[in-house]
Amino acid sequence: MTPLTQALTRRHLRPRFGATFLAIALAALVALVVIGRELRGTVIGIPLSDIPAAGETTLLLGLVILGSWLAGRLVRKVGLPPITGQLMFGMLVGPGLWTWLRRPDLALINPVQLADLHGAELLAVVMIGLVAGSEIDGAFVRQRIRAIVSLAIGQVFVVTITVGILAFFLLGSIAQAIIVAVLSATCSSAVSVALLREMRHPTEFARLLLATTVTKDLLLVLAFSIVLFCVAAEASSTHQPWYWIVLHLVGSVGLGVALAFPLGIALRRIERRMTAVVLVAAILIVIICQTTATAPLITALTLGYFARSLAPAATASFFATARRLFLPVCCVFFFAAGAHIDLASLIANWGIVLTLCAVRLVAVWAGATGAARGAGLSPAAARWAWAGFVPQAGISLALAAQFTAEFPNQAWATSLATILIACITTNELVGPVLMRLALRRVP
Amino acid sequence: MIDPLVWLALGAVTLVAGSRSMERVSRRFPITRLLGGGWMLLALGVIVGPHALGVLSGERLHQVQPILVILLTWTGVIVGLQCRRALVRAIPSALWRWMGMDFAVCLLLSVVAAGIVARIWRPESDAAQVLLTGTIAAMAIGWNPETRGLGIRSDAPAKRLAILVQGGAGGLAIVAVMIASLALQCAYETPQGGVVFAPLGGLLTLAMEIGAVAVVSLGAHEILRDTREDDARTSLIVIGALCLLSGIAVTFGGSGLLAGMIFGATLGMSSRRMRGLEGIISSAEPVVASGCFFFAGMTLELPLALDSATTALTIGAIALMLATTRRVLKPLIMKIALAPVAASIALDSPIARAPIRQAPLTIVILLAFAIQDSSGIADQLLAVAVLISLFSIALTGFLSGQGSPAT
Repeated sequence: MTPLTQALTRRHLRPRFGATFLAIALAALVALVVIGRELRGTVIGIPLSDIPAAGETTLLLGLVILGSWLAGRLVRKVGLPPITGQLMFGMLVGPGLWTWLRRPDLALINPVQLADLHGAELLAVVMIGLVAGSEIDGAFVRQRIRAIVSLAIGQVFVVTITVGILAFFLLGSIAQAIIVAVLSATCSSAVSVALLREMRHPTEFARLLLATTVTKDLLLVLAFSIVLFCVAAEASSTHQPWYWIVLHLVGSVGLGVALAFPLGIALRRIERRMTAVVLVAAILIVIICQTTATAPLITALTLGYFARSLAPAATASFFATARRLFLPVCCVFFFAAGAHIDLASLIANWGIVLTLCAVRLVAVWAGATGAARGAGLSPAAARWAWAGFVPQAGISLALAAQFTAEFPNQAWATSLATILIACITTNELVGPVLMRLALRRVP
Repeated sequence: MIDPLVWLALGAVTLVAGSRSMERVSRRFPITRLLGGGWMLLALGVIVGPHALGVLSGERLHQVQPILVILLTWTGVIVGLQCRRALVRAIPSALWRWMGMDFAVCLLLSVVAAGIVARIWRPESDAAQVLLTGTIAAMAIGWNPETRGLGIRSDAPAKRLAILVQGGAGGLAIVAVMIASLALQCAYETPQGGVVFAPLGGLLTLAMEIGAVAVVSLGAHEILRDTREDDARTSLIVIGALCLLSGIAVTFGGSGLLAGMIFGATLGMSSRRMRGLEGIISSAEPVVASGCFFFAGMTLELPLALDSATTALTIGAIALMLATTRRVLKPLIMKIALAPVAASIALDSPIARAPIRQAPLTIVILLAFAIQDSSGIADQLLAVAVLISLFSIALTGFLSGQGSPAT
């Protein structure tokens, strides 16, 4: 190859957008929104409150989608996963950071506006569930069932015992220690599927991590519900009846299975306008979950898995479209997760939070490595499997929210919830980086 | 949380519209070929809207407004995408002449009509008259670009005329959007309900909006140029840009149509064709049109419900003027403008009746007016636009039955 050809090839391979371009684009986007609002108020004299709500919602949605994507691309330049950039952008633009700095007026998105994005957030949860469910291949799960079960059980066992003992010493209560222990064992299906979708050709190791995460999370949701019921029965007289908790989980799974049949039948008859069909199906799932008080992520996960297994040909186009829409969905989801991060509580409890996170990390490493070796995974996979179970996000936060809702206005519950959310936040920030490292290291 | 009923209704609409059964039903009834799928959804919108069953009204209607705003912007993108370098260069002088004459006559008529209507209506401020002129002009300019519904003649002169009709409709759609946006910016309704005429402020706002939109469009274009066939990233940029542009437009008191059009034109003028993007735009076009018609159905207020004789007279006068323009003036303008090339095109073919039919974009433009107008007059004008559109379609059908050419 001649020097000229080499230079041309290098030029061709070089990405057009460097870190400078992305940083300028991100800054320009934020500046555009800020300047637009200011100009509207100062030059024309119409205050921000008079802008129709529809305009404000779409403006923020645009900022969230484009800003998160740019932030994700920007942090990828320094070797971090895009999710980290999306979370950081959420923190930067959302109210958490500015409330901690005691300048809430500087936040680009205030808590009320963040609440307005709740609908989009729920939609993102369902889309992530659908894609995650469709990514799980039934044949692969059957083939690797031993490894999946070993990894799930080994890791849950070690994490719950280790973190439980530490939490008991720190908090002085068995009930609280069990809650912290079970919640610590959860991971993030959303992060797993986002990193898996980032790879053009997902490796067997990546698929194994996703299948294990989903299986483990389903079991832990059940375990957490039972623990919560027992603690609530001890602590208060206004807890939910036991059958309600069972219904919540069984109902979520059952609803997913039940919806898979009509979806499969409908998709055999629909072949056009698939983008609209995917969006409408996701919206309908959100509505049905809201109406029946079932968990959207579990329902969508089950639906995605069963629909793909029952009618692979009919649903192929549907899931291909869902995967195409996955990138904006991820941006909204991880932005919202970042914007919800409560920095004030994280900093206020940093000692206990760091101790819990460090012990969890060690326990995850010990549990997953031991289980992976026992299950006969390759040396590289056994060495790095633990890193796939560090991230926490959607399900963990949902369970923490369920805990808060179960014990309203109780001082111990509020304080414990703050610690739990702070721990999840730390794992949310550190986890994706470690998981991406693992996915790169294991061929 | 978004009201479930709203989403259930929208979901049913989309699933039904996308199903094969619906396609079979459409094929069985020739009338649907003439009316198009949008009219069915408009009727559905009227039925479920606040003026009939009221399933979607008040707060529920308010909740779905972001979708409507995005749909308007998307429509603008579709209109703006026609500004392709190659297409613009290929416009023949006869078509420029036709578009110029149609624009000049319609604008003149709109000014006169608005003046007459203002004498009947006696609005409180000049602003309302400016807004009315803009609205009438947007309704009068252009025609329906669809030519298949007029019958197929495959000879070369008929094809040439069909191309001129489609090109003219596309070009005048851009003009209509620009006039409507200008009127909307210069004469706007204050939060207190009064209509203010502020040409300087309006132009300044418009300039700021265009500046902001241009920045977003150029940035998005630069990134899209790099996306190649990566559909996921193209979808993200398009969705994000549409949301952002809609928000910017509403923040500056616009409608999204102009913002979308500038974005579309930026993409259209690109030296490199973006097939991934064109695929997304073209696949979503029927859904966008259906959505706009559905919202138009929900928004429009039939003139039958008018409570004041003056308003009824005003609306009637506008309707009469527009109908006369369509039936008498439009075919005449076409004949005069295309006279130098009459030998090479089939002016005696059914396609020559195309300018009689109202452009569907008019309904979208009036929908944009209706979002910002709380007095109800835009809702009634929207009903007039719908009625004239239906009337013009029926008239074309009637003329086809008689077998006579347009004149």
